Amino acid sequence: MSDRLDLRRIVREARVEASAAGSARVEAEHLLLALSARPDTDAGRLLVDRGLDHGTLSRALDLEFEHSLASVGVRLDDFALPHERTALVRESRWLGRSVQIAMQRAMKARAGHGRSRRQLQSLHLLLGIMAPDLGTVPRALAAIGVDRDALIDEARLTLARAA
Amino acid sequence: MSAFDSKEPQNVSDGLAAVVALRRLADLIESAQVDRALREGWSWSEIAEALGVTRQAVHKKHARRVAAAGPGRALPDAEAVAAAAATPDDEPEEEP
Repeated sequence: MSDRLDLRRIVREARVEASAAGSARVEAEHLLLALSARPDTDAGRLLVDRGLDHGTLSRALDLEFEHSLASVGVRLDDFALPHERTALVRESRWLGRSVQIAMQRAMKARAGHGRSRRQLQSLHLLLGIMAPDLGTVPRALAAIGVDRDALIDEARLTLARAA
Repeated sequence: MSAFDSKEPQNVSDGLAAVVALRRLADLIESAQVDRALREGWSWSEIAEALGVTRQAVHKKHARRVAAAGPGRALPDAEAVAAAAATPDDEPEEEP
């Protein structure tokens, strides 16, 4: 019951993550980073227990970025960008499509877990973020060898146990 | 790594992910270069023209950040530019 998700707060924290990454838009990976920084939630605890703390996920995302650029022969090192990307985006205002998809999937995950618990929980959001097979999040997780299906199963199990 | 030689991604999902990454890289470069242009005295109109977008678009995207970087907050154009210009360069310019 204590895991009722403060969606407003997590989106606000995701905005900060997006700014820190120099992204004008908030995307699903920023929601994931925000969750990983919240070990007081079930989702944050699950991520950290699996070794997916904030630093590890940040590195995974950087790796994915570099890897994707490299696939078309572009090297990030060739560009003179400030090390502190926060300076490049004052405030990430727009919510990207991947956030919308994660939210829709989160609502779906909630609907699938019985009538008694209607509150959106952090694990529902984590399931929503993890659901898509394509995009930056699954690619970043694959880049560091994370078994996304196992993570999804564990989140579902935790939800079922609590129900 | 042989696929890199031809600059052709190994598969479609890599190719599409590259598009996403390039858009993000373009955003990062745009912010850095707009900052630099302002420091070097370019006007918002000139920057917009160079980027091929409207002055309103470039201003909407960057003005808040630029104003925040300088001493003033929510400044009108000319003052924001002056504030940005007055900000000392914290990184050396990389001239070719």
